[in-house]
Amino acid sequence: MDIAFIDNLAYNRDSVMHRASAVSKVLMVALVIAAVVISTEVVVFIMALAFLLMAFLISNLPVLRILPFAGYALVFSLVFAVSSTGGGITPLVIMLKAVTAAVAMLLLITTTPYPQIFALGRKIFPTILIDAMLVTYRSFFILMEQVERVIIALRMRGAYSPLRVAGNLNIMGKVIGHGFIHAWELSENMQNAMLIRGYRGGMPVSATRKYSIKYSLLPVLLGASVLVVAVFA
Amino acid sequence: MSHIHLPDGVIPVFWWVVGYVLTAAMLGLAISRTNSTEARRKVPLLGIIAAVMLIGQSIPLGFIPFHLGLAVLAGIILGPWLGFMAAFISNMFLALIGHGGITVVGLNTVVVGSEVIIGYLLYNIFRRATVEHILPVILATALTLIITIAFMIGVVAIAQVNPALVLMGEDAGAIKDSVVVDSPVALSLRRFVTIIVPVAAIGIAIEAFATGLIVRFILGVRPEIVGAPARERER
Repeated sequence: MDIAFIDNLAYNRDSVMHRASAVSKVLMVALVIAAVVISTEVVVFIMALAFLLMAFLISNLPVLRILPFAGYALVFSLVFAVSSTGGGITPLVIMLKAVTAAVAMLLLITTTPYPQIFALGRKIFPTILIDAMLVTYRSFFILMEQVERVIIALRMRGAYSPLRVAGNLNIMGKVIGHGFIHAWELSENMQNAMLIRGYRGGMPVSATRKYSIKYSLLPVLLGASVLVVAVFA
Repeated sequence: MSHIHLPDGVIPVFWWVVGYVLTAAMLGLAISRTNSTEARRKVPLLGIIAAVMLIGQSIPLGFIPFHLGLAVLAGIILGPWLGFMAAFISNMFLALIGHGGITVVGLNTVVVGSEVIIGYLLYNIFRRATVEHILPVILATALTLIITIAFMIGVVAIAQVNPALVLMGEDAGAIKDSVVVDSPVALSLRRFVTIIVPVAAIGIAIEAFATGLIVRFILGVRPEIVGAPARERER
C-alpha cells in the first residue's frame, strides 16, 4: 500500500483526466462497477480494461508502477476463484471482475486527490465521519513517515529480519505501541488547535485545480460505454 | 484481521446491499450514542486511530503473508461506537486502493466493526476478573478473532446461497424466475475454509500476542490511553 505515491500522482500530475471533476470520475467508477456486477462475459471485462488502460495512457501516469496495485484484488480473487465450483461463472471471470473494478478505482484515486473524494461524501455521510476521514488522510502521512524512520533505524541495527517472526513481533509491538502514543499526543495537539480555531464541525475542502465540464465528459462517457456494452453483450 | 478481501462483483447484490444497510444503521446508532460536543472533541482521535489501523495493515510481518488489523485495540482505546466509525473509515480507505471491493465496504465494516465491539466487551469482562492487563488483551483479541473469522466465513457462505432460498425456503422455487437474485458463484465452502483456516490460525496467534505487546508498551509509557490508572506507570 503506498498512499503517498498515489497522492503525489493525484496532486502533481496534469492531464485530461486530472482536469475532469471528481463527481464525473466517481460516476465513472460507479458505472464500471455496475457493469462488473451485472456482467459475466469475458469480452466485457477485456473491453472495459482496454478503455481504462487508454484512459491511464492519456493521463500522464506511470501505468507500469500503478497497475501492480490491482494485484491485491487479483491475489484475493484467486482464493475465491480456486474455491469456485462453477455455477455459471468461471474463475477467469471472477479474476477479471476483481481486476476491472480495482483498475477503475485506481484511475479515480491517481487522478483525484482524496480530500476531493471525501468532500463529495459530505452529501451522504455525517460531518463527523468526513472530518475524521480528512484527519485520517492527513495523519496517515505524518505517522507513516515516523514509522518508516523507526523501521529504517531498526534495520540498520539488524533488529528486523524477515525470518525472525517472534522477534519481529516483539519489535513491531514496540514500534506500533510507540506509534499509538505518538498518535494520541498528535490527536491531543490537533484537538486543541481545532478548538482554538473555532471548530464546530465541517472542515473546509478547497479545490486544488479548476475543473472543466468539457473534460468531465470523458470519464462519464467511458463509464457509460462500459455499462452499455455490459447490458447488451 | 477478519477483513473480507473480496473484490467487487463476486458477492450478490442483495448481500452487499444488506451490508451497507446494516453499516448505515450501526453508524447511525454510533453517532446518536455519541453526543455532538464529545464527537467534535474526538474527531482528531477517531481519525488518527483509523490512520494507525491503516498503518498496522501496511506493515508485513516477515515471510507470513499477514498484517495486523488492530480492530480490538481500537475498540479498547476508542470504545465500541467510535471504534465502529474507525472500522468504517479504514475499510473505506482500503477499498479506495483496491484492497477489497467498494461494494464490500458495508459487509467489511459489519465484520471489522463487530471485532471492535466484541473485543471491547470481552476485554472489559476479562479485565474485571483479573488485575492483570496483558492477559485480558490477549484473550479478548484471540476470542474475538475466532468469533469474527467464523462470522466472516459465515458471511461468505451465506452470500453464495440464493437469497430467495435463505429467505423463503421451499417457496423460493415459485419466485426464482421472476427475481434476479441468483448467486454468480457456487462456492465450495469446504475448499474456502481449507484455504482460510490455517492462515487464520497463525494470524490469530500473531494478532493476539502483538496486541498484548503493544498494550504492554503503552502501559509502560501512557497507561491512561488503555484506561489503566496512572499508578500502572510505577510498576
